[in-house]
Amino acid sequence: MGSKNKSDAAKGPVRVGMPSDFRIAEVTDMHRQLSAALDVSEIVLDGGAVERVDTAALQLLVVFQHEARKRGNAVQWASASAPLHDAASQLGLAEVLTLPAKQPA
Amino acid sequence: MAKILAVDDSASMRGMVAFTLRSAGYEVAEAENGQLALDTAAASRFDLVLADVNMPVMDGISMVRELRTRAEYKGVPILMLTTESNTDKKMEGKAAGATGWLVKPFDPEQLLATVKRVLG
Amino acid sequence: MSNISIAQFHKVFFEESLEGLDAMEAALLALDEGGDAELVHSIFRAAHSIKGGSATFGFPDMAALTHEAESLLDQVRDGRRAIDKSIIELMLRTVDCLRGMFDRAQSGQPLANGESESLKQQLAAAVGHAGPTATKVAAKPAAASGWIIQFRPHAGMLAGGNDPLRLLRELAALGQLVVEAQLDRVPTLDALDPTECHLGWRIELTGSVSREAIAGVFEWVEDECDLSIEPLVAAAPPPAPAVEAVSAPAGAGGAAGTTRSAAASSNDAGSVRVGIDKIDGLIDLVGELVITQAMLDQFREEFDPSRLAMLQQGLAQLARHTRTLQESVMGIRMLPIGSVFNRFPRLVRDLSQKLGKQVKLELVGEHTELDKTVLEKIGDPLVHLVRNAIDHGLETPEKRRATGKGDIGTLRLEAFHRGGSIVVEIVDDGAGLNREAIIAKALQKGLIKSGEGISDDEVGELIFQPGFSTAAVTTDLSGRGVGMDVVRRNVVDLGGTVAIKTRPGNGTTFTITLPLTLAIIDGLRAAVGDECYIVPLVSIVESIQLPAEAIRSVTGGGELFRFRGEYRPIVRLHQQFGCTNARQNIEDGLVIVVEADGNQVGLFVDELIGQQQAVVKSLEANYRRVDGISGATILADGSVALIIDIAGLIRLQSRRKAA
Repeated sequence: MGSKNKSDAAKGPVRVGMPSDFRIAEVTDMHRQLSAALDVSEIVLDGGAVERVDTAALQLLVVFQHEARKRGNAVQWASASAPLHDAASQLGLAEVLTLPAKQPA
Repeated sequence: MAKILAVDDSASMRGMVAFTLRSAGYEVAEAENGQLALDTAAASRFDLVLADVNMPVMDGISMVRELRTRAEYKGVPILMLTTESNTDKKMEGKAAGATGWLVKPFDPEQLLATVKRVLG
Repeated sequence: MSNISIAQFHKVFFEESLEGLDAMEAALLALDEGGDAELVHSIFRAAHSIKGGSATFGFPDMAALTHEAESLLDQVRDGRRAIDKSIIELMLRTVDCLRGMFDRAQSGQPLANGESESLKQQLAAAVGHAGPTATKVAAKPAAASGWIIQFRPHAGMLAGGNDPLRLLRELAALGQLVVEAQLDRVPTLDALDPTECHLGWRIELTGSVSREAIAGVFEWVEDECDLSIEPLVAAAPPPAPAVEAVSAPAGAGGAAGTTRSAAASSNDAGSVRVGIDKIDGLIDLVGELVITQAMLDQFREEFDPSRLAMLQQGLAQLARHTRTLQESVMGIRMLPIGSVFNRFPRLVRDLSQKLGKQVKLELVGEHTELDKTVLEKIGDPLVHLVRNAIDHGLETPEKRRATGKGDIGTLRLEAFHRGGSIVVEIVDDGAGLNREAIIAKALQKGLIKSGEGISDDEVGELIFQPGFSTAAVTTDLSGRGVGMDVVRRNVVDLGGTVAIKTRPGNGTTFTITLPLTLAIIDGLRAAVGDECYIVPLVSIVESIQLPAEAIRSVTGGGELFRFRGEYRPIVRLHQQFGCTNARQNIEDGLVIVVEADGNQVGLFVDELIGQQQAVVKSLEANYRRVDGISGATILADGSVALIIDIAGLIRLQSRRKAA
């Protein structure tokens, strides 16, 4: 599945949006999406719509960030919702996820 | 609001659980044994399953084991409704894939507190 | 939430417990005559339910007694103790004692008495309890100014429904947290199973919190993680009392409880909620009946022929009211099929996503009403057919495009009335049945001898054969061990039929025809010798008189007749059921062509007497099961007529043919 986006590499950033219910039931699908996104050099993560999130989802993001850093992809956040912020802080993962500054509610 | 599946062969126990949860605004489906619960769980996805241990046709432990083999029930909280004499049943339930338990007898307040604890 | 009264469930609890005691008693008596282990299980379950219920519904004396009984039964169940006369005797006395307790509970008297207390002690003695079990003395909680918690979930914890995020939030409610995530075991993205947990945490919790409170948070996951809880400062315990964790229930739930309670309903299997207007309608009708009866009563004393018109009018009125009353009472059991249809949008969405198919679901006729019993039992067959349609019927968008269809497949569920029946159709515009695959499978299973000249509808019939699995490759979706034969059997058990029409390349239609109610059927009364039988109207295709030469005898003793271009077997009811004085010559009687499960046979009877509605009485409950008979009814003259089970009769016939 990874090779599908190779031709997009020149086209600039790929955007990966997260579902509003971003929990264990969705992580397999997101795992696929994020893996595919690594074929593009610039990746923009959008967690603005996330209302519910769990450890499985945050762990996936952590592993993804590791991988992206290792491969030299540029990862940026378009936005991160308050629930995403709160959960990441609670689990001690806000820093490693390089979340953007918390937006006022 | 979250959807909960209440599984118990006792109509009064099931009724109490369902009534309490519906009163708190949850959507509740009922099943009177493990087999029927599996069918119901296949037709619709639930956010929480509350299951009695001893039931005819299919008991709660077998039901949990089967439910956990389904991809859509990975990570979905399943609580066993068990009695204090069933300490080993708690562990058997856990081994089968249950999330936790609620010890009978419980009153509506305890039930709601536990459900809220799990569903957040 | 204290406004929730659980007293409203007392009645249901009493009812089910008394039933449970009856079952317990019957099982104990059967066990006395040398029963099997399953009896012990059912006795245990009954005792267990009563124990759980009585504790929950506020009857501690009853709970205490059943607790001892259950402990004894548990020993028997586990094989730690052999069942003997003395245990059975003790249990039977427990059953009697509990019945007494239920009597007293219903009249609000104290439950325990000398008898129950002594029985409880005897049970406890049998179990081997010297007295109440020793309660563990809890160790004095070591209070500290804080704790260091090392928490490393095992990989499977997330799938088991315990989310570390929830646990940490619960800890945060106890005191101030400093959380440090440990990422040393995190795999690469490729190697990651995202449903497994590879993270760990070191947590500093400050606040005067007891170790028990912390352990309580991790109670459910003790076996699913590596956990250590150490005091933050190894100092002498301060005198401050330990604070137990109290989860403060949010007020929102309580508010919702008061506002929503009106909408809540108990959904017990044995009851139906009836609108007050329906009840009022019934009361009106009964009022009318009383008036009519008073009017007819006038004729009891004396009858003046000049008042014949009035008598006729009265009888007509009585007939009308009876019919309306019957319909109204039936109406109470009727519920809209929408409650079953409602499960499908989610099912269809999930399945189609899983299979990478695009499906538009159309639901038509959700308000069509069905008998409650029928409704409860039709769900599973429908789920199976819908799964099948998405799994095997509808194609992927690519395939659809290749055959010139739109990307999106359509699946329609439609319910409607047709005559005295309810019809539910499951229609897809998919590929239709795979004729070649089905014929190949049927040949392999020996269901047919040759695939030549088999019509599409006959191919459809094949998938209903027992043991015929529909998919060449069994998928995890439909291949759940339930075949189409079970679907058909379930529908037939409800007095209905399933038919299939397939249009290669254009889809498949399953048509389920169900009776409006199971309690009353429309039938034709047929005379056979000295007896009278009811043939359900829904199964009747036609009644014909045949000349003797239209009958063909076949080797093995069977008879065939030609009907609409095909040969059908004849079932002589007088032979089937052993009736005397019946007509023997085909031309003297009548052949009723009936159909079930897509098979037709001709029933040979003496004559038809007329059409009538038959109130179905269970033969099994009153006598015993008889093959080919679905029940009995009482005729106007008080005699009994048997109702013919057409599907069963056809099965008997084909079995005989095969033999």
